[in-house]
Amino acid sequence: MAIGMDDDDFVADENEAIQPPALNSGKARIEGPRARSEPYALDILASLLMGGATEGGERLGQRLKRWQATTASRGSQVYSESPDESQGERLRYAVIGLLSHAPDLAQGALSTAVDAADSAYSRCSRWLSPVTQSRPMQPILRRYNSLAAHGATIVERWIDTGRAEEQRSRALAREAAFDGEDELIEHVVGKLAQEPALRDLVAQQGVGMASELMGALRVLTARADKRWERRVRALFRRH
Amino acid sequence: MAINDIQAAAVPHPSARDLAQVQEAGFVSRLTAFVLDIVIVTMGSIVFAALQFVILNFFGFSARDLRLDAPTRPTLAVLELIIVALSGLAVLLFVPAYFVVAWVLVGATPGKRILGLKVIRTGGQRLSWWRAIVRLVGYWISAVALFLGFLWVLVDTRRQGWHDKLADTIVVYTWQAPESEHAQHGPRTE
Repeated sequence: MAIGMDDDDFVADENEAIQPPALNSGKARIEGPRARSEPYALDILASLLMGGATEGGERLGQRLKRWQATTASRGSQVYSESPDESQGERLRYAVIGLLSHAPDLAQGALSTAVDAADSAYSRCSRWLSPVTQSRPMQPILRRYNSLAAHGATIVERWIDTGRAEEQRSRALAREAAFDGEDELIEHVVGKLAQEPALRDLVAQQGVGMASELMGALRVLTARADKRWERRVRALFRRH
Repeated sequence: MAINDIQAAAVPHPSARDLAQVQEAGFVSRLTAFVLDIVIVTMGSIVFAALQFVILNFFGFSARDLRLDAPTRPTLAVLELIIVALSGLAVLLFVPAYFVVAWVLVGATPGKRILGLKVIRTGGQRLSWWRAIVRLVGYWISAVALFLGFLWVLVDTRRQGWHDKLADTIVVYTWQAPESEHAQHGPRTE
C-alpha cells in the first residue's frame, strides 16, 4: 500500500461509530465514516491531500510567525525615502501598501456587508410581518420551519463528518510525513531521492496512480452518461 | 475492473463486424472530454502567446520601447504587427487543427483519449479529412442552436449529436464500459 501504511489501519465497519483518531499517539489509527474494509487509493490520496493542506498550512503559519518574531526581535528599522525614487517604484510601493492593508480593508468591508444584510433582513421582516404572520400563511410557515430544521440537521451532520474527516486526514498526513522534525524529513527525503531504485518505484507509482485516476474518471463518467440519459428520457415521457 | 483490462479491451478501429459490440459514448463522457480538450487548447494558446512575447522581446521587436524619434521605429512597428498578426492567425488555426488532425490521424483528441473515447464513421471506418472538417463545422451549428445539437446526444438512440449526424459519425467507448449502474466500483490496479 502507498504512503507506508498497513491495510489494517483502515479496517473499519461502515456502521462503526465515528471515532476521532488518537492525535497524540505515535501511530494514529485512521477511522471515520468513509473508512471501509477495502479502501481505494483515490480516497486515501484525497484524504492525504486534504490533511496535507490543513496540516501543512498550519505548520507554514507557525513558521511564518516564528520568522516574523525573529525579525521583530532584531529591533525596528527606520525606512527612509530615496531621493531618486521613480514613478514606477512609487506605484510598486502603493500596490504593496494596498496588499498589506487588504486584510483590514476586507474585514471592514465584510463587517459592513454583514451589518447591511442584517439591517435589510430585519427591515424586510418588519414590512412583511403582516403577511408572514397571517393565518393563510401559517401552513407555509410551518412547512418552511420544518424544512429549515431539516436543513439545519443536514448541515450539523456535514459539520460532524467534516470534523471527523479533517482529524482523520491530518492524522494521515502526519503519518505520511513521519511526524518528525522538518530537518529530519529533509534529510531522509534527500537521502531517499538519491536512491535510483526508489526513484524508479516513485515513477512507477506515479504512472499507476495516473492510470487509476483515468480509469476511475472513465467509469464515473460512463455511469453518469446512463443516469443523465435516463433522467432526460423520463422527463420527456412525463410531458 | 483493472485498468489493464480496460486497456486490453481497447478497440483501435472497430470493423463493421465489430460494430455490434461497440458502445456509443454518452453525453457526460463526451462533455468531460470536450472540457479537457478546451483546457489543453487554452493552455497551448497561452504558452504559444507567451513564447511569442518572449521571442519578440529577445530580438528587440518591440516598437513601444523605442524612442519616438528613433529612425527604425516605423519599420519595427510594421514588423511587430506582421508577426503578431501571423501568430494570431496561427492560434486561430491551432484550435480547428487540433480537433481535425486528432480525429483523422488518431481517431480521438487527447481529451477523448483520456476518457477512452473514439470518433469513427457509423460504418466503423476512420474519418476522412473532409468529414472531420464537416464535423467541426457541425460543432458550431450545434452550439448556435443554444447547444441543443450537443444536448441531442441525451435523447438520440445512437447517442449522436447534430454534428455527428452531419458527418455520419459516432463516438464510441474504446473500453468495456459498465453495463449497469450497479456495476463494480472503479478500476483497481492491484
